[in-house]
Amino acid sequence: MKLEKLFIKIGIGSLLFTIMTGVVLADTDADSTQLEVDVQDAITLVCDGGDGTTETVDLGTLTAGTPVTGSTTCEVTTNAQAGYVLEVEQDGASGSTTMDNDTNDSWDIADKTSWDQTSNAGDGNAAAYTGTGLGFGVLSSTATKNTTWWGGAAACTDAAQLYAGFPSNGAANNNIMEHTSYSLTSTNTIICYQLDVPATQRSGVYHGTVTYTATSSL
Amino acid sequence: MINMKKITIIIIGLLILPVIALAATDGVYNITVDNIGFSGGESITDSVYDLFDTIGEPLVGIANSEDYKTQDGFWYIANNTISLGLDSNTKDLGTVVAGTPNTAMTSVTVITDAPGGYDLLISKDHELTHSIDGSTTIPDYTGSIATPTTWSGIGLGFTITSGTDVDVKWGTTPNNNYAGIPNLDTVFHEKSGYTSGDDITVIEYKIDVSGTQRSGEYTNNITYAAISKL
Repeated sequence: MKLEKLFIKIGIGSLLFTIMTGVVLADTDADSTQLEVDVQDAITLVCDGGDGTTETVDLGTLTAGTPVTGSTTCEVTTNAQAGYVLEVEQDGASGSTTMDNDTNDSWDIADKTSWDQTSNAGDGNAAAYTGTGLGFGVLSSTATKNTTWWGGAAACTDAAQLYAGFPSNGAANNNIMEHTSYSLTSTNTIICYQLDVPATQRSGVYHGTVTYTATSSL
Repeated sequence: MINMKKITIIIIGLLILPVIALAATDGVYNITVDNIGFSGGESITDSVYDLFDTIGEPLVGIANSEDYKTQDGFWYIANNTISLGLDSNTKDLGTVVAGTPNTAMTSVTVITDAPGGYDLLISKDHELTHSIDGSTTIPDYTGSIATPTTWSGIGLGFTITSGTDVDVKWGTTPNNNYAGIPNLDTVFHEKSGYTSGDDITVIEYKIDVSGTQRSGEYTNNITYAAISKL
């Protein structure tokens, strides 16, 4: 900051008047620094409103020839600036299939063709439910549902809902939902299950475990 | 005859009346300068304009030898200099996890020969802004320079952790009080009197974010300015 002032100077014993300008009274200096910070991403996944532990979906009593359906809702909360992906796989405890009999784990319920997002040039390999076997499909999402992968159905029983089998434990290419943008609020994805069995399926209680995983994208 | 005597007395009084203006110093001793003249050295103001004037200084100018330099006369003493430097032109606040604040520090070094010290100002070009989307920002801390507060909540704030003549409103470590950084240059620290050599003020930044703050890198620029005082 510079101040320019006028001052009048009168010499002693003289009547000479001198006017001078351009005197600096105050000085200033400045410098800058750039601040940088990284905000850590975090993600939480809760399926069916539980506390993160295993949730049970009861498909009820199945009569061969009459499919049953059920669903799971998975809620994801994340600040990830590029969104997240949702994956699913069976836990592998039942061997090559998802569900086996409680009495004898060699008595299995067949799975539909295992889901592979890269099949058919990235269109996936889910299909309309026919015949028998356990299948799953994404019904809806407040994040991003891929209708090419899963169809445009409004209910799990709709013919337009596409189904695939659960990928084996550790399988790759098992994304079932890909959300590529930041969401301020939580997002919910509903996954349908549909199951029918042949008349030769041994009776009894069958169980199986699948695991959903949400991974933030940076 | 009587009138002529009165005039003479007045003139003599003006000639011998010293006007105390500013100090001269060699860095060790301060000498209050008698501005021997008719008048001057003090500000005349009408609240809009300030006039600094001197009348009748017989000896003015700069004299120097190999080791010494003198500045003689009111105006040569008043013509002071100031320099400001930062310890770094970048500060990394690290990776912040929502709910766990991070901190970083800047050292501001000021050197001035101004007898009245200096004012230190701070400003920012904008809020911390997301480097990718260019629009998401981290808000300012809600405390102000006028009233810094004990840290609570989220945002980017700052405090003074050490320096000369630090106002008690900033608190003392670990109980510092914080303020948001303004957009316009604002005085946040006043250093009074002369100091020989470096005068260092240490500023601490503090930041926390909400759980919904978009992840990624954020940046902005903080500017410090120092203004000398008579």
